[in-house]
Amino acid sequence: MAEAVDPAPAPALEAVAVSKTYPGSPPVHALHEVTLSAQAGQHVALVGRSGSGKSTLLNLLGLLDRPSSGEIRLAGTDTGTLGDRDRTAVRAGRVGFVFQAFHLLDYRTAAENVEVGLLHAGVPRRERRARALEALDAVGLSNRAHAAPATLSGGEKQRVAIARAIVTRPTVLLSDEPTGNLDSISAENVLAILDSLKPTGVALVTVTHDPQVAAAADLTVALADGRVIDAAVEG
Amino acid sequence: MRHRRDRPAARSLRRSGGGRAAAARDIVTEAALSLLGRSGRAAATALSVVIGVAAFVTASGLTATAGASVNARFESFAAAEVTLADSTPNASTPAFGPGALAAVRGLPGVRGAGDLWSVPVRATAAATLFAASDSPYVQYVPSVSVVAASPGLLSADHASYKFGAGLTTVDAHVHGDVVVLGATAAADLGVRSPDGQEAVIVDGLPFVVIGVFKGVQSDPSLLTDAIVPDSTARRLWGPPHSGSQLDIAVDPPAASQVEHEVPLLLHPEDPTRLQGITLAQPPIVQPAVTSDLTSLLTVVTLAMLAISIAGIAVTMYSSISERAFEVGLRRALGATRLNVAAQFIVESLLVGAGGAVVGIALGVCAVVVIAKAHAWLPVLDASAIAVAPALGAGVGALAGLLPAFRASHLDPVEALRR
Repeated sequence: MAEAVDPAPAPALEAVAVSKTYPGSPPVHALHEVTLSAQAGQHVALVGRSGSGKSTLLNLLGLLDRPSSGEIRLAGTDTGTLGDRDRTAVRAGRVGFVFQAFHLLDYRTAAENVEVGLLHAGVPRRERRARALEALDAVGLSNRAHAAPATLSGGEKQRVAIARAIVTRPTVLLSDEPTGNLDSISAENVLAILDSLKPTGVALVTVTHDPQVAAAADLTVALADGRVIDAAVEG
Repeated sequence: MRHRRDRPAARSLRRSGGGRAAAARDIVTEAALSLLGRSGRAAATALSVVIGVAAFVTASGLTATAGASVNARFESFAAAEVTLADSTPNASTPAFGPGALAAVRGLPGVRGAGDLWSVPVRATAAATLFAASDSPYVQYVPSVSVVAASPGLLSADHASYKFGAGLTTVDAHVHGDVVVLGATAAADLGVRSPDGQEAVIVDGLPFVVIGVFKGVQSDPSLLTDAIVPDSTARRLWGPPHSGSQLDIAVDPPAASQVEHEVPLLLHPEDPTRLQGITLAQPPIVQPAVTSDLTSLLTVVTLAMLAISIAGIAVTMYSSISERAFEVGLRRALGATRLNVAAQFIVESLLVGAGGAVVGIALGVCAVVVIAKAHAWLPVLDASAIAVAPALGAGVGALAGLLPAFRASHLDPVEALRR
């Protein structure tokens, strides 16, 4: 009798033949049948010139937008059939976002900004502060928990933003130019933090122009004119 | 494009969520923190509500204050004096015979009393005695009506004097032909400053002017009359035949009792001969005044609502652009459209309620200051003060609907790019 073999686990995140066309005259074809996947614990870098479709793809992967065709799958489940409320709920619990401009609320402390990430994730209020402090500790900012964003450096702000993204313990972390506004030392710190997340099993997808970030990724996918022109496994 | 919902897929991807009560508490907390974090903008947003509610509370307070003041004046005016008139023409007996005034003055609650009646003669200026009688022109000779009054009448009417004094018993019996003029009558007859030398002519006889009064409480028509002592009038023109009137100054609580007792006292055989005269009818006038003030309050309230709604809506609507990234961020972090809309509405509601509280304080201060400046007793409408915060909150929530709708329908991708 043949021994049962466990099937390979589904990728944490997949884009399958995804296209995106913006209506207009003429319509803009931002993506053409893009396919890629990110396994749990894998870091995928999306590179390409401005207008190549990187950010469009990231928004589709993060369920902020819907593809015109193709599928976005999370843990093997097609998200195309989900209604808006369910997509929102999935974002809240499974997807983390890091933005180039940090997007911190300037009237809240670092810890409170991190707690905002838990607001819609179903985490009881009494647990939020502890989770936020834990996330800040993970990015090396436990001593700045009560600092206002205005008093933080650019690198610290981005680390707070990363803490906000990982505080929900997402399965996918999407970053859009996370080092774009940082000096080289801060960029290295942020990159090190992102790298340190891989053992937790989170799939990282990072849009970047930074060769250092691309070099640190496990897989680099190059886009041009909305198409995948190259996919290279790093190192 | 509409998407068919796939519940099993949703369940496999969703993580457990909190209860609705917890979500509502989170929204209120987020709204409050958002307002505190932008306290300057929140204050600017609340300004229209502050002004509107202050105007509302001020208007309602002044309405209540003015209403109370008007009521008090009507009541004191009506209650401090009783006037009884002889309703029987050409009666065989005088309405107020010898001893009548003394009997009335002896009643409990009566402070003073005096009777009066019209005399069928006119008073003219003294200079008319010396006017040329052979003038080819018909000359205008000013004259005023003459009223006979007992010495206590002007006192009972609370007369105030411009010059001299009123009639006394001594004047009537010792000095003989004297007269007191109402201010209007004095002006008509050219009497400016009686000093014992001024006289007017009544029925061809000179009467010395001993006083000019400028105000009476109950019967302003006396200001146009020349008033002679009742004893003089009886001596010269006989007793009154009809139209006599009795003015009685009373303690306010005794007014109705006195009005009821005097006819029985003076004419027990026919109490209906004396009829009470009420110069002002508070039950008729007061509702009219109250109605006018209520109309004013309604207009102010509607204006307040419109200004407040517009103020909040415009300010919040214009703030959405600068808060777009926050909306995009919250949507990315899992906030639904309803969550975003609810936060904007709650923020607007809190602004409205907070503005209303400040507006109440300002309105109360305004009422007190204005009332004090006019020597009124400030009266605050408790219901208006109680309802104002709820009104402010309602106005805020209403004003927040449009901004909330716009914010909740921002495309998160576009919002995050701003």
